Amino acid sequence: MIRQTLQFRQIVRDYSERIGQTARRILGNDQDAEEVLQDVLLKVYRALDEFKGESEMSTWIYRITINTCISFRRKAPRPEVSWDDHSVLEEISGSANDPEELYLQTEARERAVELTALLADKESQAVTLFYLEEMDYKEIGEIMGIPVGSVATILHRGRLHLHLLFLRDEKENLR
Amino acid sequence: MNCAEFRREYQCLVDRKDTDKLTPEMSAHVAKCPDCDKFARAMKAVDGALREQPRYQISQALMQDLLAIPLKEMRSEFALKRYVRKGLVITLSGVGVIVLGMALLPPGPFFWLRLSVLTSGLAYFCVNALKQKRLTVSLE
Repeated sequence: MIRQTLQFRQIVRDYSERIGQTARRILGNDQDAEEVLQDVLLKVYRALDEFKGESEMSTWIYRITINTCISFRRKAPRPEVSWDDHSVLEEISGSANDPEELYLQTEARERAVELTALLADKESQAVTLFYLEEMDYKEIGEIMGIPVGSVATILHRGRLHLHLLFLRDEKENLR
Repeated sequence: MNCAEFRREYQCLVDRKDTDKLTPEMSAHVAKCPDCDKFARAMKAVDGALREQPRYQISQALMQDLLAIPLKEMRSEFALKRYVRKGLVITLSGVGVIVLGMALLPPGPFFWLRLSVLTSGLAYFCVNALKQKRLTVSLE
């Protein structure tokens, strides 16, 4: 019991911020991220005895985080975004915005967090793990339970869709 | 090189942070294709925005709450055990009341008295069992 408590405390110190960051990126706001963070750590504590070290501790924790975020997203409805994959590229090339200028605005980084949360589940997870945790395709595939080859595809699509969301967001702000 | 090939390869360069290392074929294509040029600049810009995201910071109060999870779990576990123990005592005493009522009163006479002892014993048992179940569920 004492060993488990000490191990857990170390996990809290080492992983809390990273779990919170991942959750915020996937869910889009601090409040939900905080709720998920507490939920994840409770699950980690309860399952600590069962962790056999077959995978890295970090992989195990991220898997719990991702699954908890997925459950949370299913419970809390979010605005639905739709796009036709064939017209995405046309929409990008047809936009009047200069790509670089779009991201120079001061609130762009905050908007990136909010907009990433609007991506499809797998896209927001891949984008989050790649950029925030700087994981490679293999690690992301392991956590998300998908083949390595699919990671790149999902990540590329996520980046493309995120840019599209930025363009649409900008257009709405201008109206 | 066509547009689809350029875009696929460019995304791979973005992943590797190698957007400055375009192959001669890619450079030739992007020089004559404004759509791909716009695509490349957009992907590079979105990549930059994603890499520079603000860090998430945990308040001291939240950190204390998180560190206290084992203690809360321990308390809830003890409380659960206590309620289960109490529930067992209630069940056994309820059954005891019924058995006693049956044993003390011979069959035949005192029908209404025997019936009231049995009914009250059962009611006591049911109410307390339900109360315990509710408490146990809320603890879980």
